[in-house]
Amino acid sequence: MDSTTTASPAHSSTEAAATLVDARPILRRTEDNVWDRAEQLRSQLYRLIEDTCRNLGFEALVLQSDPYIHPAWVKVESWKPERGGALTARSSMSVTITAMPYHLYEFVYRVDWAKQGRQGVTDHLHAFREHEVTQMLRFLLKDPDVPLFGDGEAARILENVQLRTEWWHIWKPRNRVMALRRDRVRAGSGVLLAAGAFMTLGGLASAAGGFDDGGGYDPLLYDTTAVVSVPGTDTVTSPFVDSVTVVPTTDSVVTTTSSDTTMAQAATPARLWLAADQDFTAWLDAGDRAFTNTGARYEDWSYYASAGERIAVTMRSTDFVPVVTLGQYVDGRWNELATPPGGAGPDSRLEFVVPADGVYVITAASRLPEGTGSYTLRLDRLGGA
Amino acid sequence: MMIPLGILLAFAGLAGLVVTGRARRLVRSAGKPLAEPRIPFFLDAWQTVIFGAGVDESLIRDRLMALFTGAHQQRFACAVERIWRWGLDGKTEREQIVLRYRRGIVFAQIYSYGSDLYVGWDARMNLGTWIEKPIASGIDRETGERVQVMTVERAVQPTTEYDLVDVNCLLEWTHAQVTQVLRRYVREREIDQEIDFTIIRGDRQRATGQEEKRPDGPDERSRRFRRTA
Repeated sequence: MDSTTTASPAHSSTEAAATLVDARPILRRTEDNVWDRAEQLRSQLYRLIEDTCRNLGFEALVLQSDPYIHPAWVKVESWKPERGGALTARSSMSVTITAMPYHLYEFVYRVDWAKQGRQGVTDHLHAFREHEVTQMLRFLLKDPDVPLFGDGEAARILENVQLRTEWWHIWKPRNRVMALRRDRVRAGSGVLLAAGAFMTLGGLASAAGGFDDGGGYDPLLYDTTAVVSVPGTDTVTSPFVDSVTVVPTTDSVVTTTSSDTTMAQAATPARLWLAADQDFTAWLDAGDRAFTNTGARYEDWSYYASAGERIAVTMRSTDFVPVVTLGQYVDGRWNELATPPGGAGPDSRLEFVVPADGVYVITAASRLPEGTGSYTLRLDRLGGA
Repeated sequence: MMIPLGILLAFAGLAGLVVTGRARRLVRSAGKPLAEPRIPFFLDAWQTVIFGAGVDESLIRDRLMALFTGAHQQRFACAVERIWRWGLDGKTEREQIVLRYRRGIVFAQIYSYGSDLYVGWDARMNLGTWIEKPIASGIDRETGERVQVMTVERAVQPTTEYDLVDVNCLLEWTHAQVTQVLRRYVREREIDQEIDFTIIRGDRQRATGQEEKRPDGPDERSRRFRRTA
């Protein structure tokens, strides 16, 4: 009976000891670790530098860090006699090896060098192999003259083994942490937050009066007085205009009625609206419409004008030879009303007295089929109305 | 329409960040090497020169190594290390016997100078330690857990009275072995020389305050004590 009562607690305490989890805050020691491998690399580099110096015909001082010194390093120093014993050309190099566990490149090298009064540092190297050792030692010991930009010479030698030091160095490898993968939930949340904030602030700013476009390109620019509506025709809306009529609405190809040209163009409505007394910069490119006969690119701009108004339209471009014309679509046919005086140049200008209220179309075109690039269009009110 | 949608998206994003920020996060650590990084602080030393014993350098070395690395001796780690120093007229490369016990290190030197033999040791407290340093946070590629990845870097750890006791024990034990070997050798060879076995004591008071100073090493950064092991 006694033995039973005394044995039971002992049994419990043994069980408790067997299930005890070691949760002490002690870093585990690892036999195969990058720091020990860094020391092995240091020893290899030490031998390599010694051998390379000998192959280049120099007996230089080569030192390496003591055991258990981190980061490990190897140094080489040379005093090369010049013109007798009193003058020496001195060069040195120190290579530091830093262990980077969990990274794509487990070792990162840093090279500090000095040559005859010049010195430099190249950091973030993912390798320092026989090729780099030979080239650097040749640069330091063998080449007689110091280049004016010695830093550039060392950087050129080590360019191919340099890690990305700036985010925009996309041609260099990045020493990313390999133990982790992207946290998509967190990244997505960040994107949502940013997008939401942008939309909210944008909406608030828009409600408060809109953004100032700075006079640049806007596909729906308009003259604030051009609030017109002609029933039975297609309508283009803009954030600033209730409705603007564009005549005509068909996409049929028509022949111009102008006497001085045989150009044909698609009679589609112009979506670019011109405001008076302002410069508008736009681009002619391969995506724009082209005249079916010449192939030259053009863009149509619309302007609502009142009867008796006298206007001048000027188109300027340094990228191509500009041609500006003014007309109207009448029953699906292009009726050219004004053309610039003859002659090619960087400017194309026409003047026109508006005969009746309505929407007039200004065609900004290139004279030649291959003409593309930026141009500036300006409509000036000269008087009348 | 844009403003309510923007507020909705912002709240959704914020909620996602809060939820992921409050989620459990484990720590993945690379561990630390078998030995601490060395930042030695000088404590005690002893040395002598035995006349006419230069020829027996290897004999005395072997006898000492037998005591240092014998099967009966498992308390103190012993290794032979090669060291390099820049001397007066070039590089000097030598071997030294290193005994380690916790933070105590004893460097023993046995070098012949012509016909004479130099035997000595110097004891040091290693102030170096490994402390953890975060690298990055994210999803662990192996387990899918949310983790913080840590590595270690060298730092300075202050000494305690226990550390002094440890290094005292190591240096006294080493000195006893050296004394034993040399006394026996002098007796065997009947060398008429009185050897002074008195240890030269260093400043122990400074050892405990060393953590406030910059350790030797040009680029070493002093940092506050953070015990990790």
